Amino acid sequence: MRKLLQGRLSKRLNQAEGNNVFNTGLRPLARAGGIVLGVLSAACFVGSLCVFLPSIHAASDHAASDKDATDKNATYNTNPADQEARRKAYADQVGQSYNFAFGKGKLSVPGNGAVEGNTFLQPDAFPNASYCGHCHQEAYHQWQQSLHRNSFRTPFYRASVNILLNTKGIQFTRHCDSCHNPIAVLAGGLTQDSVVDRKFDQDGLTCMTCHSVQKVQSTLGNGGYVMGVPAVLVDEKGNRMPGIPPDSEILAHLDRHSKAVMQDLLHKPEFCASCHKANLPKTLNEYKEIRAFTTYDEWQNSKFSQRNPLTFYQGDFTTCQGCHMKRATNLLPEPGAKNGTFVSHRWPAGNSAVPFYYGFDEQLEKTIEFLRTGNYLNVDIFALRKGSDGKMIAPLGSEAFTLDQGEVVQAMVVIQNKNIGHSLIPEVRDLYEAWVEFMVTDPDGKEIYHSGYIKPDGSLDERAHSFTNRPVNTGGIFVDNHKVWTIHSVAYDNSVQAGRSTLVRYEFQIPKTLKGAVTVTARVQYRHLRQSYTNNVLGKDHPAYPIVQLASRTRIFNIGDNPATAPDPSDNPDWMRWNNLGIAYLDQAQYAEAIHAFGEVVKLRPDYADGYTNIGLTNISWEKFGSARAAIETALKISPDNARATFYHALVERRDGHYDAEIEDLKKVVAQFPQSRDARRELGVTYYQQEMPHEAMEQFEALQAIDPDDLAAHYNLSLLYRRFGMKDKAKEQLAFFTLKKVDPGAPTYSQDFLRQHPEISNESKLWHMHSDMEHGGIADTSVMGGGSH
Amino acid sequence: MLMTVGALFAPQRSFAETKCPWLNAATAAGVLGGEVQMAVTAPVDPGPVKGVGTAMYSDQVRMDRFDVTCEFTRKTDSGTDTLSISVKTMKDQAKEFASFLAQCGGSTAALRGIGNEAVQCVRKEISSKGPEQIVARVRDRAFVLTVTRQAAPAGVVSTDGLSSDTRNTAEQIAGSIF
Repeated sequence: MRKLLQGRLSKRLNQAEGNNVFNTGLRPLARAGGIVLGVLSAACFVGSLCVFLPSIHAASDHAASDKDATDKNATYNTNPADQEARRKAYADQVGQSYNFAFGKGKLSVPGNGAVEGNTFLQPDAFPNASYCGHCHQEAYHQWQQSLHRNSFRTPFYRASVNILLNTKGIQFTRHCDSCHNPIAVLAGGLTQDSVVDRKFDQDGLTCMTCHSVQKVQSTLGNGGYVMGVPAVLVDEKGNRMPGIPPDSEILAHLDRHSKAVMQDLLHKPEFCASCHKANLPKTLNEYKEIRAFTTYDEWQNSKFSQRNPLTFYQGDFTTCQGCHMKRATNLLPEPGAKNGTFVSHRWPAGNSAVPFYYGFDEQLEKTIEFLRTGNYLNVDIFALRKGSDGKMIAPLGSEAFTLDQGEVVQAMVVIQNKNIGHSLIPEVRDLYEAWVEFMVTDPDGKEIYHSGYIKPDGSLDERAHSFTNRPVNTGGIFVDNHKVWTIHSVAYDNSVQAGRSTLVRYEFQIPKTLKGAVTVTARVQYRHLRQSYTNNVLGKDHPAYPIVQLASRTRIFNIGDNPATAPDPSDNPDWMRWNNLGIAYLDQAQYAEAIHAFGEVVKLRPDYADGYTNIGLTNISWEKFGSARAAIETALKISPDNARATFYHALVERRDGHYDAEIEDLKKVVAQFPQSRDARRELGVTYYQQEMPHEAMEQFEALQAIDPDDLAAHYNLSLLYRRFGMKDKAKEQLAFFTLKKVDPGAPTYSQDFLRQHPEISNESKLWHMHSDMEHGGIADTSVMGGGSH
Repeated sequence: MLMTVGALFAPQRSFAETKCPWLNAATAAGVLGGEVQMAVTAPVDPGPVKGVGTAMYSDQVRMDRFDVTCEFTRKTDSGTDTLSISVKTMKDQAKEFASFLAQCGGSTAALRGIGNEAVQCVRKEISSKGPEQIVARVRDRAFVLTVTRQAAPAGVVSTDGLSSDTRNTAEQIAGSIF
């Protein structure tokens, strides 16, 4: 039987090979696809020893094919029919034993990775990175230390995905590996009886994974790319020529090389969306679709996309690549450099653990430099509130005040996500850890109060204010080790969205005998990864992983008089400090306080239309539409075409039943911002309510093109399609709505978790006080309804 | 005694359907340069293993829990090439891992990026036929990878006589144990 199988395969391979005299493309097929698992020939006896000897036949030569991938003199076959036949033979062979658990032809489900031709692709169709590194030395050098290269092999990834592999089955890991190891997925390597040589694992996202992507299916993520058959050259007509040509061939046709590997898509944020966005599909969790992270959407909603009229601040258009692939002088030869600079292939971001583990000091240094130098966050020790009179002293630095011994003091710290194009923390919030460390010391450096410290065992103070979340399973237990397929709810999520701010409150008491001054420091600290996860991966005997200070501010308060002081160069102007406080109050649903803060903004900046719009927005949230109208109309007097003010004006008009005016406003916003989700959604709703179904459908379809997950679009389109007799489309939209809608029972799992963890349950409250004091805070209406810990 | 037999029988049923948990045969074949035979020997249940997710799924048999030894062999005209992987869970890590390291005969070179720690056993005389050996640890589990070939390895070979293929294989094994 084994011989028979081998014979059939050999015949197919020979047919595929035809008259070719070269090896490129064929050997990989033979090497991986030519392995035939034989009949189990077990030498087994009952007892403690059981030996199985399945025969494995690998019908190719590894050394030869490795050599082929980099041999400058290798013959290069460009015959499409030959290439297709080789791929077919490979795919047929892999397909025989592949676990099509999610349906025939579905190669990557539960992931979304796709490949042109929709069948398995030989791993060695991908030229390896060292082949590219012949010429692209700078890119190769940088890539080697990057997280993209290490996307699969790092223990921090393997430990988590191994749990999935060893408990649910390897076929489920296609969800993760569609992004972390696309070659393994598309080669059909992720199956129980894999016949694929996994040596490519070491290179993770190799050069020709990104540089072979031809398009993105949508912005749903989970590997939403469409991989082309890798080609480093196109022919004279622009047709892609798969295979691995010798360097001389490329050097003779550099323009055709560039056309093959430099798709315009590579420069666009949608390219990043294919993986920097993820959901947990029902095929993975057997529950329902849960959105995991939405970094692309967050960028889309940020000031940097210039697609969203509702941002609090404006900024220059900047893509993902604009921050994470900045140009710098290349030190090594790099044909891709322009004017002596080359776009970063390190993709610096928040990944400090991986270079630390591998000893990639250069990458670690660049990562830390990136995190610290971007002016991404602003920390503002904004106000004090003294227990003696309860009045807020703000903004600190600009207001003189006195402080007494023994005083109970609240410090209000505003953390602004100032220049990040996404939230803090954007991805994997259950593992990445950013938090506020707040410390009050006496003149001798002795601690008076400290929150957000690292404990002797390396773990973070549980009561720290952290920008993380807590996903929980059906038992109300924190989903540890990134077992994302068990997530049913999120107990809280304290991330700070792009452009927004959060207010963190601390309470402490000045010692009764203290003389001199107290030093108050607030800093945002970051660690990749949580200590408990690193412990689980490496055991407890690992070295301490780096903690990076992202931003910090210190103020010194005298016992006695505190005159006004000059601001630090990094401080925001006072109007912006008030504005950030207002934004934070608004997000914490403290509307009266928010309006007071925004009122201070317009006192300082009466020309600032957004200040009035912010007052209007807060009043809308508070359902005070009359007050909202007045503020928004003031904003529109200052800035008549202001899209943000116009949008909120439309909501006020709707409330007053002025639907024509509302539609006109929203149309103006859409004309200025055609990719505004909110304007499209609201316009669709209004058209629907005004019995204008065609117009409504147009808006919801446009909305769905911007955000394929928008629930309002799914729901309303299901109704509209049904009305127009488009039953299949209606059914599809309704199914998506049902699948993606949050399970109304899920919050009970969060409540279970919070009940079991009183030490951090306050973090789930919109506003809360961090305090060591037993009474839990100064009597203060601003913390009523909140909590303390 | 009956319990012992029962415990032994339970995992054996699933082993019949499973391959080497640390490396698939195709990858081993790639390292050795051609057709291989695989032997998976002596599954020993070490009891609870430290680290990720081990206690969560007691109703399932996880092959990676067991101290399995795998040997891949390739017959060539000049002899037999082998790639063997031996994994052992240590009860007394400090003491036992030292004994693993002692197998190198005192001459080792540290390797970074393989498990928690890893060394290459450096041979006195480097020859293409001589075995390449790596001893490594992942949490409380030690493993030894030994590759013996009749011909020079395909990948880049370091001055200490370690091929890139063998080094990468050790990293893959560590990854599977993680």
